[in-house]
Amino acid sequence: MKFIHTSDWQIGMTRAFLSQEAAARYSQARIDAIRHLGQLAREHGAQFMVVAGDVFESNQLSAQTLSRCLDALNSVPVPVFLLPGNHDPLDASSIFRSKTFREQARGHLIVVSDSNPIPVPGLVNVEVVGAPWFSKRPATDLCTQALKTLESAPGLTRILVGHGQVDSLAPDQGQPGVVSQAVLEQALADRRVDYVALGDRHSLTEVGNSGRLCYSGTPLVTDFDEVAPNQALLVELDADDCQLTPLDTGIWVFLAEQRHINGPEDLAAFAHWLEDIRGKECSVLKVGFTGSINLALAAELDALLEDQSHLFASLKRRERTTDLAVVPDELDDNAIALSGYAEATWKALLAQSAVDETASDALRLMYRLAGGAAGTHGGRGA
Amino acid sequence: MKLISLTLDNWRGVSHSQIDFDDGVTLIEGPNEVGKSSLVEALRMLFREKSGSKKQQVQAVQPVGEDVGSSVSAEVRCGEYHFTYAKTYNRKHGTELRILAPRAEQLTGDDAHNRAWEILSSHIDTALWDSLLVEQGKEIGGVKLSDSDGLARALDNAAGGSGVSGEESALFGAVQAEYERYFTLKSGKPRFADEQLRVADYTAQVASLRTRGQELEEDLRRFEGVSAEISRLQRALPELKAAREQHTERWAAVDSLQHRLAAREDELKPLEQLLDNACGQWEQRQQAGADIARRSAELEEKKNALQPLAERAEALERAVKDAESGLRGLRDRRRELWQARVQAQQDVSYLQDAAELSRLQQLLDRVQAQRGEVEKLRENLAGIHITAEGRKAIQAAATALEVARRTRDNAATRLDVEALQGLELQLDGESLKLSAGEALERRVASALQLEIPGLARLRVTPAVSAGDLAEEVESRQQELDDLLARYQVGSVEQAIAQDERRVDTEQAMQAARGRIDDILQGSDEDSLQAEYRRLQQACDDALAQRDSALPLPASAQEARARLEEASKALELCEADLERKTGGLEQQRGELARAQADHQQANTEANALASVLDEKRASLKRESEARPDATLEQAVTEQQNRLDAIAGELDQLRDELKAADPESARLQLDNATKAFQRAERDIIELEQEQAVLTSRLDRAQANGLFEELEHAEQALEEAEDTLAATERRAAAAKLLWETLNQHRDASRQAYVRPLRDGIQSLGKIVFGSDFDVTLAEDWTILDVTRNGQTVPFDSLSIGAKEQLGILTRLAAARIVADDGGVPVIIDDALGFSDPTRLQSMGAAIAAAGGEAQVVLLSCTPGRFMHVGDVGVRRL
Repeated sequence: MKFIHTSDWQIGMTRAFLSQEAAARYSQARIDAIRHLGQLAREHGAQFMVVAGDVFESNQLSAQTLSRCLDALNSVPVPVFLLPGNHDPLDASSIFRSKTFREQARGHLIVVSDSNPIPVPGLVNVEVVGAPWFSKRPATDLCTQALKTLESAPGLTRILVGHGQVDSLAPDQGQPGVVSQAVLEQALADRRVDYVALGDRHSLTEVGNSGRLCYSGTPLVTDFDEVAPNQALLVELDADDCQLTPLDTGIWVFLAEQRHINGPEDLAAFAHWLEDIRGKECSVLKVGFTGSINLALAAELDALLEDQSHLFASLKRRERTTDLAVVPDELDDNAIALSGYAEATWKALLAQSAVDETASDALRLMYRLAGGAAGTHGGRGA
Repeated sequence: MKLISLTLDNWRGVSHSQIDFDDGVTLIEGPNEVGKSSLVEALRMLFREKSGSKKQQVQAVQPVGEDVGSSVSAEVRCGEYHFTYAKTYNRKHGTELRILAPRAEQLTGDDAHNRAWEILSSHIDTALWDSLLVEQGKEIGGVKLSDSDGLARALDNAAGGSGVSGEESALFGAVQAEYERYFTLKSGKPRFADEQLRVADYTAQVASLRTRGQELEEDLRRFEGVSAEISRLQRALPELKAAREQHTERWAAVDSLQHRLAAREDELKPLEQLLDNACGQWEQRQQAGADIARRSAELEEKKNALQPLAERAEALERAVKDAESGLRGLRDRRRELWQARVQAQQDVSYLQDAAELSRLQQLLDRVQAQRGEVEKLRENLAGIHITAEGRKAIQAAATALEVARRTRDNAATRLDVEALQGLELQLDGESLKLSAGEALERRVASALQLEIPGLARLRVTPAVSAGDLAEEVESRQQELDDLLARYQVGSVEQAIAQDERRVDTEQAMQAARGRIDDILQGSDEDSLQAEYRRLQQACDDALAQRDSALPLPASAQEARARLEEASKALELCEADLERKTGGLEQQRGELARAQADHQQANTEANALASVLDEKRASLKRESEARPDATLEQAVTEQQNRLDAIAGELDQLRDELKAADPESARLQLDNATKAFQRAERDIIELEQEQAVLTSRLDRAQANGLFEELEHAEQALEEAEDTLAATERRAAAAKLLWETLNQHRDASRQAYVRPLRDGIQSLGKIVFGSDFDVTLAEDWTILDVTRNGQTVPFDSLSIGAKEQLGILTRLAAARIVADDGGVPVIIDDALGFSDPTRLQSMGAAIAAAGGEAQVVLLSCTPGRFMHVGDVGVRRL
């Protein structure tokens, strides 16, 4: 028996650091990931799919977004179990109960609305037991609660679908909704369940060493700190065996980079590094710079970033980690010919630029206006 | 740049005009309208306006009424270039540039125009060119040189500056352009307000969406709470229902007991009514007896009270009578006193009248005496008939008679007889005796006859004229005699004497009348007489009426004292009378009241007595009909029946008390209410749940989350954009400000050479102690002359103009080595006096040594003091 374990689709999520154009493509990519998962199910012969929570980023999504998502979901060729998570809990405003959902979702889309075992359509002796979220603040460990009334049933294959941080990984174990790893492992040991499909972590993570307790991670990266996103798990359960195969689902990359630039060669290396990145239009970069450069180099760096920012989905300086001193040197002086009061102005700004970033900016501006940046291929940084 | 020559054809009113310019100063003289200003205009237009221009100012140069093109042609040396440049405007327009050096070149059309402009602008500072041109009719005061790059460059050289590239202007322009991308040049207002606005808009939008999100959260929480409450209430409902039924049963038992009790109580009510009636009747009978007793006691009391009231009325009546008689005595006394006062008043009057009478008596006596005197004098006058006129006439007549006599006598024959011896003779019958030696003399007026008896008879007869004279005498005599007779006097002397006496008498009479007037002192004697008679009558009447028994007061003073005394006594008496009259009125009032009281008491007593009689009769009748014993028995019977039922009621009430109806009722109410409340709460909560559901459904469909995400994204994008803009703006601003600061500082350094230039020319004009202060933009701030410093603006128009020209000349001298620009002065110095013109001439000549100067003037001789000058006359 094969199925696909995925989670945290976060449909409707937008990223503020993306431009509107990139944001639209990013949103589309999330929808495309669903179709891709359907395709993978077909390719790998998976018989159904479980989505372990956070199908939607929120219960309050536009009808357009929901319709597009349902359209993609409807195209998935196998039954899909949708578990309400902390982002899309089954509360009074639940998106799963919305008119659009009710009207457009096809029969093979099964919303896990309680913890009663649900037989998987088309399969014999396979049940899905879910621990759906009913509010954003669960009072208890929902998985433990779902398992409480679950008797062991020999001959039956059960998959528990849950959402939330397991206590071994949670930063705050005191939270009421934290999932007890021990309870889950006990249930696996008792063969009350055969696999626990977890959601909430966006990185593919295997919990414990049972080999049957996993976070699938998000099929499409959502943040810079995610370790192994863009994947889903193909789970193969046999009588005594559980095989897990990660499947690639996304091509978007979120990269936080830190570069040290002290001379033209560093800048060239950085330019080269940028050049080598593939799929730039789906790459989100933030780069922090440290070091000390002259005006010419600063102008080149500005021009480089300006030029490249058109290629990438997003290319931004990490202001927080940028500490790049722009110090004019003789080379700069030679690049522009100044005299009279212009020269006096130059010197005054130069003295000021050591302590004043605006003066440094003004100096760079003057450098450019005096024709100093004419050699580089950058435009006016407006 | 040097102008070599300029030619105009068909330019406004000028059909043809050619000027060759000197290297130094060229003076172009000519009357108004001859086309001097057209030279300047044509020179400017030649370089600025393309020949094909349709500008109004270009079209304006066409001569009026002539359909011909207007041409201007100039020969110019500019740096290494030497060229002639010609343009024809309007009709058959065209441009031609012929470069003679350094390489021969010939261009036409726009190429020529662009090439000429290129040569010009690469060699001279066109801004300075504009500044150095003094155009007729334009303001000629201060000069704005600060926009001139060429001047700056020249000044920098003069200031010893090094390496001026001349590109500052370009950089400055670029920086200004950059600055102006972000700020307005004048006020420094940011131009990126729309970006700021966008951030603000998105911030507000995000805030509003977050609020809506929070409201949604609230609704969700509430929905959860409401749902939990509904299920709790539904679980509790059966329990509440059971409790309500239990308490309903208990209440039913209590209720039946209460009904029985109420029925018994209903029976009790008619019995109580009967008892009340019996009691009432018995009580009424007893009260009737008591009433009669009370009334008879009251009557007795009234009767006893009557006697004192009667006595009091009598006493008051007596007192009133006494008071009335006392009052009568007092009234008599008042009458007496009043009469006494009248008498005293009369006495006072009488004495006053008597005194007045006596005074009048004396007065009238004195008048009477004077009257007698007058009468006597009048009698004296009666015998005198002479008047002043009479006397004068008599005297005149006497004189006339005398004159006549003398005349007659002188004219008459005179008879002188001298007796030689005693003799007797007769003269006209008159016997006369003459002794010896005696003489007789006679006038012979008429015939005279002298007879010496015996001896002779002599007759003497006068001439006839002697007779006329005699008649005259007689006539005069007759006149006199008539007058004397008329005035009844014997002689002239008597007439005089009598007249004297008349005059004296009349004077005496006048004096006597004056004395009468003095005595009367303006009064009329008749009225005094009347007054005298009235007073006489009054005094007589007073004495006649007066009681002769009473002694008359000795004096007026005494009389007044008596009057005062009488008045006081009367006043006292009247006050007493008034007081006593008041007292009497009061007593009469009291009496009336006392009598009324008595009457009232008497009436009341009578009324009481009659009522009492009636009551006694009535009681007697009733007692006969129903004796007291019957009534008393009825009361006892009814009381016994009532007591029996009351016992039964007490028993029932005890039973009810034991059942505790109060708490049974309360508990039933409570249980009912609790049940109803639960039901109502469920309904209300379900309604709220429905409302929340619909609201949540709506919110769900709104896609609030996405909207918020989009707004947040837009906000972040806008913030990033704004931050970047602000950063660039700050850099541009700092650069702009720093550049300006240093430019101003360097200008300040440039100011000195220009100041020196102006000063050296100014000394020629304004004297050796002349000095100027320049602002950083090279305008003149103030001027020092003869030890006094005054602001430029407060100088006279003439001085301003002179300084303006000097500034231009100084600037032209400074740039003379560096490209050079001609100074063209069109019809200036109209406000300068001859002395100033002379010194300005010297200054212009001095400047002309280094720079080309072109003077245009319509006033011959204005620039005659410019020494080295080439004069052209138009």
